[in-house]
Amino acid sequence: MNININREATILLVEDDPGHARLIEKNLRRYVANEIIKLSDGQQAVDFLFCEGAYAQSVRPSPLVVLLDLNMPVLDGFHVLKRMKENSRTRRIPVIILTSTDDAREVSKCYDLGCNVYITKPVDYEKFCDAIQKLGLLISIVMLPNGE
Amino acid sequence: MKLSKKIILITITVLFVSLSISSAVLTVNFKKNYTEAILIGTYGIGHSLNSIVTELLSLGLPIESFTGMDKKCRQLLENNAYVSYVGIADINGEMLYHSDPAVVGKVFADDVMKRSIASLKPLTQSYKRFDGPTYYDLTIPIIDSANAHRGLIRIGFRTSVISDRVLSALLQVILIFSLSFTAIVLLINYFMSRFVSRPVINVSEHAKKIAYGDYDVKLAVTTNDEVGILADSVNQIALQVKQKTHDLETAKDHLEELVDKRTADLRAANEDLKKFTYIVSHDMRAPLINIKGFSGELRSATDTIQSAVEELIPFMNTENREAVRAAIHEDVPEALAFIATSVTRMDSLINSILKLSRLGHRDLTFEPIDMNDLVQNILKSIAHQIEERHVRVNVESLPEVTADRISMEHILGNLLDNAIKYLSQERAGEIRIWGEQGEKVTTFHIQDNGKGIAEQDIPKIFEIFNRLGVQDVPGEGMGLAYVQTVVRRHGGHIRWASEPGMGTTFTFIISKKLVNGGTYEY
Repeated sequence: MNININREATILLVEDDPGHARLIEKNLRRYVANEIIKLSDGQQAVDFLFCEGAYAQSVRPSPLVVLLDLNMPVLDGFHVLKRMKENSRTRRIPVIILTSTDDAREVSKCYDLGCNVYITKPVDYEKFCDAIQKLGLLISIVMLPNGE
Repeated sequence: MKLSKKIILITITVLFVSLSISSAVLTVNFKKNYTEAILIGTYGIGHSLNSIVTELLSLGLPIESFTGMDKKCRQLLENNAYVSYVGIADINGEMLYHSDPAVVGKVFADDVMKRSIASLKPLTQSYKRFDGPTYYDLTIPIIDSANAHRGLIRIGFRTSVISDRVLSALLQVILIFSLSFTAIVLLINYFMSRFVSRPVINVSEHAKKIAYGDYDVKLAVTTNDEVGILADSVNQIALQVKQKTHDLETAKDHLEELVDKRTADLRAANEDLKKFTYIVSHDMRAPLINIKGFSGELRSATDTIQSAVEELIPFMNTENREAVRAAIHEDVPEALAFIATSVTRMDSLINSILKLSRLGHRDLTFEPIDMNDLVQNILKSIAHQIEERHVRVNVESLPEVTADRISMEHILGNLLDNAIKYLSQERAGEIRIWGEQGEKVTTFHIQDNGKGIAEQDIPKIFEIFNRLGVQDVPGEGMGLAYVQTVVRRHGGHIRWASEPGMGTTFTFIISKKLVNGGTYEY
């Protein structure tokens, strides 16, 4: 079931738990063929998005969809989201929060900061697979801005 | 009444009484002495007249034929203004000579005259004369040289002579009394005010200042008397109070600091605990997702291996064949099944902790709630359980409360759920719900006739994850822990009474003074 409408979009997966990252990637691969870049903390994500630090010499791929975890070392997901939405060059990049937290206040906080979708990672693996399938579907149908 | 006034009043009274008594004594004495003096004077007059008469008698002149005696009598009257009359009578009572010519020649036989005639010694009598006033009458008997009683001299004066004199003397005494009394009172007043009142007022004003917190006033101790001692004591008190107040302030500051610190510590500990619960529940989930996820992956990988190995089994030797088959078909699926159920259980426990933590965090909205409606709605939602177990639920009229609706549903839902869950199989279930409105709190009771709570389980019933008795009822063992948290956030508490085999009554109270945004967080 490859619905590759947004074929050219790169998926930036920011996730500190390598197991989660692998599971998400594994499941996502079943539905989308887009390039997936995995980063393991918020600082790396910010460097990558703003071409700073270790990524100073590289060029940020475009279009881009960001899958962001919240609880991460160094710099957490909220900070990454805030930085992205404050900057005119990154604020239109869709951000999908993918986290184990389903606390109502955190959900509200993320939407307040401007996240596009909030998805909870279920513990039950079948539900987890379902969620990623829906995520894949979402990524494939979402309209993306160009040149940003 | 002021102390100085009281002292003055007492002094005045004492002074007045003593002065009055002394004046009265003085007056009485004066009257007695004056009377005596007048009588002695009168006696002198009478005696001089008597010596003239006895002289004439010794010359042999008859008593009735003295010349110029009337004139002599009148003369005596003129020379002694207080004397009213002077007369000489014979032994028969005939008035021979008299200052009043009208009386001369008259014979008197009244009682006074009779006593006068009868007396051989000078005699003083007082009597009321025919003309009205009362008189003192002095009789001197005339006794000649032959010792014969020849007649008598009577000299009289009005008693009013004495009483007038006494009156004027009394007036004088009263005048002196008043003047000296006034002078003494004024003097006492002055001394009282100068040496008692003013210093006492001064001390009391200082004491008042001390009472208002001005501890630095210092009284000058000038005298050695009681007031001086008082002033000194007040100074000591001021010093002591200042010291004590200072100590108290220091202690209070210290205590406040301590309380602030403890409160802050407690709050921090509470916050830490909340964060801890929250973090634990979230961070514990992350590895679970991996365990679940990868065991899922393992399962699908095993399926692939299974079909591949199945084809290879006929080519294995007999020993290996059975072992591989067992591993592929039994051991691996069994291990995966155990992993899956354990992770599911773990996940549900984590969810419970998370739920409890959130109940402690959730913002409560206090609103008026009709508890009768609320209970009926809960009963409707568990109607099938009630039906199934033939439970009779008896709800009495419940008081209205101002509380958080979700919390109330939670509390009553849990308690009713428990009551039904733990009903005894041996008898028909009966549940009774009632409540009462107190002054500061509202109380609710839920009574059942179920299994009751065994004594050894008593400390555990509000503990999380603790499920009591024979585990024949589904549940996570979190219900009462939730209920307790929520009740506490309503400024109340939950209690219960139980008898194993008879039933349990849960009683919870909630505060009637719940304010939105208030601090009822636990």
